[in-house]
Amino acid sequence: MTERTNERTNEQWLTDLRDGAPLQPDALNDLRARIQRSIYYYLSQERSDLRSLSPAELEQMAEDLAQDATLRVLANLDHFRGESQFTTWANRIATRVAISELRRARYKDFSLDSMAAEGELIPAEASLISEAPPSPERAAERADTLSRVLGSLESALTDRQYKALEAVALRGVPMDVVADQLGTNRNALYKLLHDARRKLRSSLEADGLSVEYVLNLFQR
Amino acid sequence: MNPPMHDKKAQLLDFIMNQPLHDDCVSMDCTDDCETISRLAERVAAGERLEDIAPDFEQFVGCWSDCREEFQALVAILRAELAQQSGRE
Repeated sequence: MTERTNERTNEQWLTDLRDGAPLQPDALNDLRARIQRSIYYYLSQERSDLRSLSPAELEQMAEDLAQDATLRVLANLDHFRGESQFTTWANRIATRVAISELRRARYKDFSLDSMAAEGELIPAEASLISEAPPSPERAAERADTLSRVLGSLESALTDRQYKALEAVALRGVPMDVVADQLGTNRNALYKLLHDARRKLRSSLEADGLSVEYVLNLFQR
Repeated sequence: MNPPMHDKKAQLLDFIMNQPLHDDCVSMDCTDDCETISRLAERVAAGERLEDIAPDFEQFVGCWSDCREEFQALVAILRAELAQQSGRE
């Protein structure tokens, strides 16, 4: 069997990874090994939250994630257009698989519906940290403006947009987690939030609240 | 862009009012077959500055922590690969 002794070109990767290709077993092993090295590097060097794990545990995680990532690369081979190195593109997929999995594990107990049931979007007592109290007039103006912003949130946004915005913007829930719970993908969620923000800005501006006015009002 | 504020009200207002609305970046396909991001990561790993080669995208990842985290992770991996290759040569 002919072996590749040098680094594969993009075309060679694509050819060798195809089903039935004579070099597919070697190419698959090489791809998986490369992805696993990348993921292990990321887990061991870039994730301070995983410092308590032993190298063996990180290796196992990397191996499991590399398996998933390799399958994802194979499933998307037809989408690779050659604008970057194939290995970079594969590494990108691997990175997303690893990070997404870590996010899901961290937020495994999170629920959008439970979040919605918790009540007020903005507690009345929420205040700027270490801020000198504003004048009564400014405080009243802020309260009124905030009330109008919250009103717009409820009237201008769909329930889906509202939940997504609260989860992502206020609670810092990762997009992957929110997208999963909404039964969508992250790109669609970006667009949903993008549209929600556009809609809110338009609604507020129609109500006489410009971006500049609101930002100036709430700056320290 | 104004500096970020630090409470729930401020977070909400910052998200709605302060962050840019880059249609191009939002349209950029963030799914697995996005090669634009891969190509940008290669260039940054090789030493170029993102703010010079793709200022809109730089601003975009500045606002979206998920995307930023993944982009930075990819750049870190590519830099490590480049360093390893340099060490071998």
